[in-house]
Amino acid sequence: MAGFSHKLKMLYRYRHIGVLILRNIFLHPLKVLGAVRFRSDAYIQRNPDIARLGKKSFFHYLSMGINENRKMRGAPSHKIKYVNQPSVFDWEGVLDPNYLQDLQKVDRLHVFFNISRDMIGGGMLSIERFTRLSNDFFSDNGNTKTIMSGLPLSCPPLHYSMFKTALPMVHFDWICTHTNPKEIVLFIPEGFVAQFLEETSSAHIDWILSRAHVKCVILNQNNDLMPKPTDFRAGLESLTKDITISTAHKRYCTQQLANDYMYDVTLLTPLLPDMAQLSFEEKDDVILVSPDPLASHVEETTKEKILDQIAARFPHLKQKVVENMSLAKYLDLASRAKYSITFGEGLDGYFIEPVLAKGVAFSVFNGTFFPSSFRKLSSICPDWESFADFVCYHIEHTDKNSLAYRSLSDAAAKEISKLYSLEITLSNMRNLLHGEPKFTPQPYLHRLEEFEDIKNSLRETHGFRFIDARRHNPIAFCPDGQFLRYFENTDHSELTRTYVWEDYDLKLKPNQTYVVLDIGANIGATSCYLNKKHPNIAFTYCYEAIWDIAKLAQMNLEANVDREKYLLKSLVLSDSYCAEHTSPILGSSEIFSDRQIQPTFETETQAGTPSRRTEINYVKALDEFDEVFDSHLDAHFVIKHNYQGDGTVLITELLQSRLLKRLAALVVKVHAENPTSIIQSFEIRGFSVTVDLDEETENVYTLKVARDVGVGW
Amino acid sequence: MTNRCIYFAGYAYGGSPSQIDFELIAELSRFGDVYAWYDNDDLKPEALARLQNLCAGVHAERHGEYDFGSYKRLYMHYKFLTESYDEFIFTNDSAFPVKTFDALFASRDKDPSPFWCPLLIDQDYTGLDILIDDYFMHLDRFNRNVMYLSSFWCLSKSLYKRAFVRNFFESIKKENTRLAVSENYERGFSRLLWKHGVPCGTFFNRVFLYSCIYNFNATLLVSEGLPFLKKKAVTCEFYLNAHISSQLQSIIRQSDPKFTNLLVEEFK
Repeated sequence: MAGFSHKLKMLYRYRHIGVLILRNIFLHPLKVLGAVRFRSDAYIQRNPDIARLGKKSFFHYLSMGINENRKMRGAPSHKIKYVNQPSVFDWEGVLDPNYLQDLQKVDRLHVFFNISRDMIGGGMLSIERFTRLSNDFFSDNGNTKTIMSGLPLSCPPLHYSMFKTALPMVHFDWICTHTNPKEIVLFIPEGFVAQFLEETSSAHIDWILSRAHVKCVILNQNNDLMPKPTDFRAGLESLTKDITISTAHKRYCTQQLANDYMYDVTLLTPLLPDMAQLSFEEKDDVILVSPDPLASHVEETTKEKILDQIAARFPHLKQKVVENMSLAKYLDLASRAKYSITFGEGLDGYFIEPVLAKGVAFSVFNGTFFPSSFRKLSSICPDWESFADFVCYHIEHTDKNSLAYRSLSDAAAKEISKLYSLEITLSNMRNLLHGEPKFTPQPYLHRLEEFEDIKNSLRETHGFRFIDARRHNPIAFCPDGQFLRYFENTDHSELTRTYVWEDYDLKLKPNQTYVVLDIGANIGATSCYLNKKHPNIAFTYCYEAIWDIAKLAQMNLEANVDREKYLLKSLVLSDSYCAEHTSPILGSSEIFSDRQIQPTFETETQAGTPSRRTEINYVKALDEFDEVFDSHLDAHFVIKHNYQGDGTVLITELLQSRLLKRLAALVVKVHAENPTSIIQSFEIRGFSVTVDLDEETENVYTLKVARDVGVGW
Repeated sequence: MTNRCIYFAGYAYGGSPSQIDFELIAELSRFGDVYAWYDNDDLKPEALARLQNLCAGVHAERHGEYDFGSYKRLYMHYKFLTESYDEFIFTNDSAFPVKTFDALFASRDKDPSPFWCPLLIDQDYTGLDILIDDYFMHLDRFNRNVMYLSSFWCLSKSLYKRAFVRNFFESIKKENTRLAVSENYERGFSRLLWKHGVPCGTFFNRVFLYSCIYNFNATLLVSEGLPFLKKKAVTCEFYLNAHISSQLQSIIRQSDPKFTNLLVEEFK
């Protein structure tokens, strides 16, 4: 079973080779048939650069060798040599003979990974231009050098036949064996990050980890190709913690991207090539067509139908699909073509380059790549269904009209120039290398769009509304415009007590500052309610002993009360200091003065919250009261106390504290056979007391205590 | 300029701290007055003399209560200094200094939190690196082995004077196992901070895989600015690390010159 799964894994890993082989079966059937005469030793002798592949050179021939016109036998070609590791590197271009030597001495290395396949693509050209930019502007001879390498690592390095590069491609093996920089920056294209991690050997990892500093830049040139975070984050983060995503398009250079991947995000706009700018009269009657298939599946619309319709309408305009041509040839075509149509991502080379050459390009708006300002351009169609008619209309109006043509072209050129320039890209690269990202990841609590949307849209409501949120707890929208998350089935009573029975509704003097102690805060409903109602509450202390409930209270307070105006503590205020680690059963029963209450508490705790280890911290109420008093020397105090347990202990502590002399109002539940002595304790100190019997059988009373006339419950 | 009192807990194998431990104390003394307590009865006179040169106060007395026993004794002994300093730091000799501590203390000075430390660690956390706020949002800190790194605590004076802090240090006693020490004091203090709603700041705003300070991530954290490397990460005491040699090379390359040679000796 293990062997089978390994084979499956290998099949999956080399699936790209399978695709290439299948393609060659269709495109070059004779050459594939000719492979019956294949011999590894002859092939390697003819092509020494792939010597490391050994017997696997057969698959190299079938997948890539045929495309690269490699011979199966004969003397090696002297025109182009490749890295024949680990020894000397030779290259067809103009190469400074000291280049490799310099690489071995450098302090800092920028390593750009491009695709090690002899083909041409927008992303590859973009990487080549970044490599050139880094080499021209960010390499200084003593300290920093730029090097280009190739991915997948299993492929040999190569010399691109369809476009020129500023630097030769050097295999990562050679880099790891022959260079020893103190710091490295690895630029990896987004679609190859996971593969890079899969293919790095222990030697590669050792080389990377032995640098003093490693920065990794994920070149996100197409957000649709970004791998899922789970596919690569763990592996990448074992090599470095300094990871940044650079995006080619402003459209996805967003806070959301930073939050999704937990990495800094910064813009790195591609560089554009220099285009020959031909006038309207100099343009050829050619429509340049991108090789992409239709970007989206559209009912009854195909690329062929669109092109056929245009061809039928404008037979004099020759349609030229970009394929099998070198970059130089393509750029020449893009300059000369009167029109260009792109079927791919939209804001791509097939759109931009003809416009830079003063041509007209047509595309369909794609929200992933086009900034919203492009939507208003006359050469951008809103959808594929009308694209054929759209193109025909504009060609009709511009083919013989140079003014209209130039107007269409200039409008697009103006928008493009806002996005792309050497100065913009240089600035982007500087920010990237100097650690100045555009977006850094933000924690979830700062991303409460859900709360804000709900809060804004429900300001006008006057009644409760309850909504089951997909995540976390359901939400209650309160009559006073606040919203609270709560525990289903257990907290309706808290909401009822606060908003319907108004148990904690109190009158305060408007010109007096108050501090509220909400002891037994539960989900924070009372604190939120009082803060909303009384702007002269300067500060609120919330005490909720059960952490699960305290977390909800925290969320509710965050959403409804100014951050500077409250503090939540997960503590029980009692008559002694004790830190307990407990199971759902509470610890020292002597903490409660009434043992009878404890079984009730245990039962309700087990029923109301998941039965698991719960830690309850007790602190001496007197200490807490004195600390609060010292922190608010000018305020008067309001205390609401509603524990599962008995409030008598708290009253005893309160009566000894300095806070009592500025206590304005108190509401507390007490369990006492006869609360007379408690009532008298307050009355002799000048308070007025009202008493409600809540539960006769349990002797539960609610005491409401107030000092001044006009203040209290 | 923050006036700092730095309580340093140490244990000298063979009666003398290692050279690099002396350098660590010297480095700390750049940022505040160091008061050291060595859990030794056999501290050599020359070692004691050298410590006295570096520290504002030195004590050597065997108690067997690990670092928290030393912290307790320092706390109790120097109560009279409470009003003399703006901040109180509790640290020990469990790490090698790699870089100077300037960046660490600069970060501390920018953070107004009454409690501050280099990072939050959860040795059982196996997820992707996560922002601390998100960690607290999604995971129950009271049901996990999560705590602020106990080898470097910074307490502002106002926090230092709080009753629960006093109670904490006064309640430290000899425990039967190292695990009990960790549970009651290392994690216990972190839990007290949360229960009392004390704002806490950290140098790193993320929680990393496992107890990263001891494993293959430890050297990566140094690359990101942490000025020290836990000794147990070097000895791979808790986690195997196939690439430890490469990572130690990286540490040597990053090290401040005054520590480089000593680190090379230690890593041998």
